[in-house]
Amino acid sequence: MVKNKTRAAYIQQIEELDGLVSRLGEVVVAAVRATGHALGEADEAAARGVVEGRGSADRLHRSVEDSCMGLMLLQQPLAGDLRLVTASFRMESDLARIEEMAVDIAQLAPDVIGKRVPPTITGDLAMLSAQVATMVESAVDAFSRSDADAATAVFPLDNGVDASFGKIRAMIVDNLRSDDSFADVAAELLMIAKYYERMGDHAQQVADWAIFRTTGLYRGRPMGEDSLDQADWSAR
Amino acid sequence: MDEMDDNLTESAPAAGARATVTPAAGGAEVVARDVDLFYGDHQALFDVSLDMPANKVTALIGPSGCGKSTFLRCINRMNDRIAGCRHTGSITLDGQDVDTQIDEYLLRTRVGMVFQRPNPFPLSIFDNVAYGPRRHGKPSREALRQTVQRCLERVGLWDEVKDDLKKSGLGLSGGQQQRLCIARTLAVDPQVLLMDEPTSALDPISTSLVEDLMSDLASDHTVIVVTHNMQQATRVSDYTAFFYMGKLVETAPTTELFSRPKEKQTEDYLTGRFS
Repeated sequence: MVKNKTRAAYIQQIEELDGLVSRLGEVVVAAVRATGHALGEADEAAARGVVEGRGSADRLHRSVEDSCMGLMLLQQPLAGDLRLVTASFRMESDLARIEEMAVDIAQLAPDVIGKRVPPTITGDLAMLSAQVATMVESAVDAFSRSDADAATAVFPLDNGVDASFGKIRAMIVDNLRSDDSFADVAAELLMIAKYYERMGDHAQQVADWAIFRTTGLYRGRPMGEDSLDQADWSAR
Repeated sequence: MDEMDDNLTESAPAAGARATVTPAAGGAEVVARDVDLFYGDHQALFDVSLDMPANKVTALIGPSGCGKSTFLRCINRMNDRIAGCRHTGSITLDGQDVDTQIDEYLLRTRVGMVFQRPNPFPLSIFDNVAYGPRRHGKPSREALRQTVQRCLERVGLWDEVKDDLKKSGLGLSGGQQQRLCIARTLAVDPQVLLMDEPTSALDPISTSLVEDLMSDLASDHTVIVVTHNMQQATRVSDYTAFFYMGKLVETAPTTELFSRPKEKQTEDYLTGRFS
């Protein structure tokens, strides 16, 4: 137990940041799942909920950013705390991109719901959203538990996401060939599928930050190591 | 012993000593092996083994009383002056044992020391820098002038004081005084520079100048610095060693120790979680 008040306050800030990141992860995962529900169940209310929930998610994003910048400015954290703060700062960006794409999907959903879309496509989109949500959830959980093995296990899940995206894309193309009127929704469906596929990439980034927080290595490179050697610079 | 005598004995050989000064060809590797140190019955260092590479900056960090300054003072045998202080194990300078193979006075020319508070002698700026070379030999006036200018230039003080060389060193600002003390240390061409919290009494601008100097001096000296300022350690050092309760807990390249320490005690110290 730390008796010094200033340090105790610092440690409380660190713990609060950890909690904020976990909470942000939960909110983003819920948004992704809600988009899948909206598409799979033709539930426009669920889609509206994602759009309307954007404000509270933004506040959480800003809280994480403010907490990271405040800690760096005023406390100059080191070692495990430094890894938490820098990883949180970067991971927040990835979660923000995922959340923005979830909102974009929610805004596209009314253009799809009620149209003549084969249920196999909306069903597969819902399944794709569940795959992505699981990836994000697992990566955030690995971050919160500082579990590098769990984070590493996230990467292969992206293969499933890519495969699902490929399957949905093929179905959209097939429907376009057989039904001219399908063109009304094809672009929106393809965009939605692509958003999910990109969410998977961001989920991998979150897993990278979970590994960094735990080990100090980002994609195998230690913190503080020059990213470009002299040859890189002279080649520019 | 008055204050000046104290400073003289800490930073220069005792009166009457004469040793041939060989200009440093670069820093020396300092190696400590199995060092135990005792003040009477009290053990202050426990089995410390540490390599401090030549031409690098090694920072020693740890809480007050952890033994880092005591260890630093073993390197130039300053602890010899403390009654009842003794150590076992060895400390070598390029393979030569500082206690048994290097004359104490010669050792002080090879290992210079800079202290927490600037301690210029109550002499002129010129005489402060010329003090060591004069005691170690009989340099010509021109050689002395060149040495003084070279050393003041090296610490970035020459342009500030070149027209006031006859003025007292005590009239300089704190930051200038500390750089003057470093110039005084350099004047005898040491291979190793020991710095014991050299910027703790300085303002941020002076601190920045001294930190620049540490990095610059490491090109041809071995620099070993004790600091409580962990940001300073990250800024200036290549390697960092963490001491706690007289033991060397962990040593590693600085970026590694500050980003992913291996020992829990190091992690707890760096993150302020010591109870």
